[in-house]
Amino acid sequence: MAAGATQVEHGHEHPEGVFHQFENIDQQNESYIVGMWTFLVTEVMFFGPLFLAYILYRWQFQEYFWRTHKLLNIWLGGANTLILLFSSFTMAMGVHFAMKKDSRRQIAFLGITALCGVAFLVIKLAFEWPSKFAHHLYPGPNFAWPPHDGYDQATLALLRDVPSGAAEMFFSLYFGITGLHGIHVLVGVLCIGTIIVMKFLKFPQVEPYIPTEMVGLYWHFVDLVWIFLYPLFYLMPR
Amino acid sequence: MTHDSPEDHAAIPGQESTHHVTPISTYFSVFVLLFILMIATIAAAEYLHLPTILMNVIAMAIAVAKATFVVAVFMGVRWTTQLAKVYAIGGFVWATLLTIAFCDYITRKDELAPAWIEGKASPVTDGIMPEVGKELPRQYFGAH
Amino acid sequence: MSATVVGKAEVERPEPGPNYLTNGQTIASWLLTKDHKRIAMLYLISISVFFAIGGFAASLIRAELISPRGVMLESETYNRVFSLHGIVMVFFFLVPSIPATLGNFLVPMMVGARDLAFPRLNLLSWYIYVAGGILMILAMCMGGVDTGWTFYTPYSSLYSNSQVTLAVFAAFLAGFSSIFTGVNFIVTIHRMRAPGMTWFRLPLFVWAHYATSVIIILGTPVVAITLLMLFGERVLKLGFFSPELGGDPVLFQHLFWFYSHPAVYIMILPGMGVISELITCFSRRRIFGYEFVAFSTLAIAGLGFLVWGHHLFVSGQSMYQGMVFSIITFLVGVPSAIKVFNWATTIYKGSVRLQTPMLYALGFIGLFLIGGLTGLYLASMATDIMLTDTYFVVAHFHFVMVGGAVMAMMGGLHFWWPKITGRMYPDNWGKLSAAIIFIGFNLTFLPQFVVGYLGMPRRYHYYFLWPEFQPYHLLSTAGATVLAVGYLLPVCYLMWSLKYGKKAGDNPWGAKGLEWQTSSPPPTENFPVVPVVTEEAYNYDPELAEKEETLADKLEHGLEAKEDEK
Repeated sequence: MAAGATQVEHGHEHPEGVFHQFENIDQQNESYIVGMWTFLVTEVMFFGPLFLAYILYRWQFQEYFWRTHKLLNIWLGGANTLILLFSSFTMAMGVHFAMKKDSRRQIAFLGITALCGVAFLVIKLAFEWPSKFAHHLYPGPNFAWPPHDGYDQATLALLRDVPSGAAEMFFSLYFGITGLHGIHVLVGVLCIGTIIVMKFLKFPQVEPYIPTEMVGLYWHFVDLVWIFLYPLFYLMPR
Repeated sequence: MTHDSPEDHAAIPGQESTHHVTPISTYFSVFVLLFILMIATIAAAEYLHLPTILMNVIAMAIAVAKATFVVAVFMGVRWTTQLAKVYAIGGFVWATLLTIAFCDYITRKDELAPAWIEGKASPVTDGIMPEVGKELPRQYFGAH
Repeated sequence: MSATVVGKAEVERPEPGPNYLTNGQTIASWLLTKDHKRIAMLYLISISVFFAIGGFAASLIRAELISPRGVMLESETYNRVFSLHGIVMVFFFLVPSIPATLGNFLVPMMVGARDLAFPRLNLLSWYIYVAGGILMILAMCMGGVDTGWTFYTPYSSLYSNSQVTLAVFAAFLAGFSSIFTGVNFIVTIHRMRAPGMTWFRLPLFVWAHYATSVIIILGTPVVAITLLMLFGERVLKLGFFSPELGGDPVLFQHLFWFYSHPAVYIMILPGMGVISELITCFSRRRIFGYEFVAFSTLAIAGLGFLVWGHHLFVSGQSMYQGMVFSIITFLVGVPSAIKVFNWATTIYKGSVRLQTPMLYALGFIGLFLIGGLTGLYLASMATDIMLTDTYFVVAHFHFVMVGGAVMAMMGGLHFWWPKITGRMYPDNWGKLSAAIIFIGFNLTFLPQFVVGYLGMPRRYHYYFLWPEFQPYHLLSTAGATVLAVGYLLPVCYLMWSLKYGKKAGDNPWGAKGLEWQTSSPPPTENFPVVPVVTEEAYNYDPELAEKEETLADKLEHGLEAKEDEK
């Protein structure tokens, strides 16, 4: 309601905890969930063009992209995939216990989910990306191609024939998409953290599972993007 | 309200509103399934050597299968209202962008259109294709 | 207090309570409001500021073009001026114009709700809009951009030295403001309709905003990521569109126009919704073919996503692709034509009142018709190759944007002004301004069709190679001056009416619709009691209306209503 000197009581009655624009709690809950789904649609359209760019350039540079992708660490990527899948499971559990109004288990599972998110970011930012930076594989004026050391001879032999432009394009797409995805993971972790804090401080909530369910939908979406990212970048077939 | 109440929700006694609560066992089985699919996709990429098209199809099929399970079970779309199902499927409108934009690239031809090749199309275009280094005829720039 | 004599739709109320304007008078109560009506007013003030900035840039353009040698500005400066005009007018004025002001104000009331679904998200969307706007003004003060509002690569990504990064980020923020508004509308219209308000009893204004919101949520994220990719290319050195890396600059064009074409439908569909309301009210007839108008609105939204390639006919896009886009572009004109036929048929045998909003509505129909028909020349690939990047295109889109969307906005503003402020403006001044705008607009943009057809390129500030174009440019600039006067007059008399205008009752126009069932200005919660809808939309009776005399009719005929002056 607008804060001001004169507040007027509206003539209608609404149940405790329901916001004033809604008639009842069911309408409020459904509205929030529909709202979150609408936002997820915008997120799909947000990631879509990046995937389009990836598909176009991979079609154009098929062989070169395949050779360049060998520089990515398939096992670190796989570990990240496992972490995200597991976090999706624990997030679903968190929502489950939120609906059952079991606060302790809800906080526990949300905490595990957040930790998984942090682990994902740590693997990416402390292991995967720094190795790329060290080998001058970040696009821009410092891009060095072909790489001289740090990889086995067979790989290096393959990479010598790849034009520098194609490799730089691959890494532009790689850093662009995984970077954007990483930002989304970070935002997700912060949202989960906020819910945990709110639960600890015992913020009054009529239907406490709704915020959790909304963040859960967002988190599953973030997992979905990675499910498509991983095979496209790390497991590229020849 | 004029919208339909969701009929396929199981009411949990003690809750204020009707909402489907998925049992833990379902979540766990789906997680195991996703794990197996992940192993499958890595194995296929590393050890299967088929033509590229087929490899891509397999990889994407596995990814779509994983996505379906996440959307249907973890996101609860299997048990929600029709509206959410429409959203979940309709969110892939970007595929139209993908398809149509891609069609541009695969139908491009890096050659002159027939009208500009001497003698190929109409007499209107014969003789006006400039040669390199020659000045263009003045009458194509306005009345003076 | 007031004992106004109005049409049949007035609701008696025991005592006047505080309305949304008086409920909380501090600055904080406005800046932290969750009331959709106040947020609509905040938006109205903001977009008026950007309209003024964009209009100022337009006046510089027109002043420059009266001389064939372009003596006033340098080429570099002129590039920045027309870019500013485009960016500000598209992203900061037209896209939010009707949805964020009239839409925010009226959609909850028209569906019978107390507010939008997410009021705090609504406020956040205004703050994000303002943040984007401030960044844009900052970019302008730091020199602006010279890439054109379309930011084509590789110039914008690799070579331009202007404030591309800042401007692109400003547009990115404006896009998110738009997305949040769209999410709000979709959830509200789906979930918060009053009892009895079925989909087919909704006013067409609401249908228009629903279709607009669908376009917003599907299209705007694409331009957001495209601008982010451009940002990435400039700042983070990621090369998505860079030809040196084997990238394709035309990819940027594909992605940019995938949003920007549906964006023009975001700009026009709410205007069409306004026109449906105006035509029905001022002919006192139900809309002819309600379902046809509703479904053609959705058809425009859907088909509008499949035509973006008609902006890329000369870009190197595949010829065959171009043919497909050309055909679908022809098809997308059909639903618009259906709507124009339906509006025209609605007026037929109605009890027509030519008050100010109706003049704007009639102007819209004529000017939108011309704009739409000239679009067909641009849809056909063969003629488009000649006409593209000439003033023909400029005239075409100004006819639909200004002659269409802005006229609809003015008509809607005048129609709902009594509801929003509780005051009537002097109708004579309204009609005069409408006439001045109509004349000024035609004088400005009709010559541009001719000079474009004759070959005047767009975005050029000199044309001394073709001095015969000068008379057309002179006419156009003269028209722009008249148009400016026409836009300034409403500012004056509408502001005047806030203090001195006659008090309007609940329903000075005698209109149907839930928003006219509550007081003017409405109370904060819109309706004291949740309304129950039993009538179809536009349940007018032209026979009865012939004998009816609303407050607006009385004021028009110079009869004083029995009430105080202040």
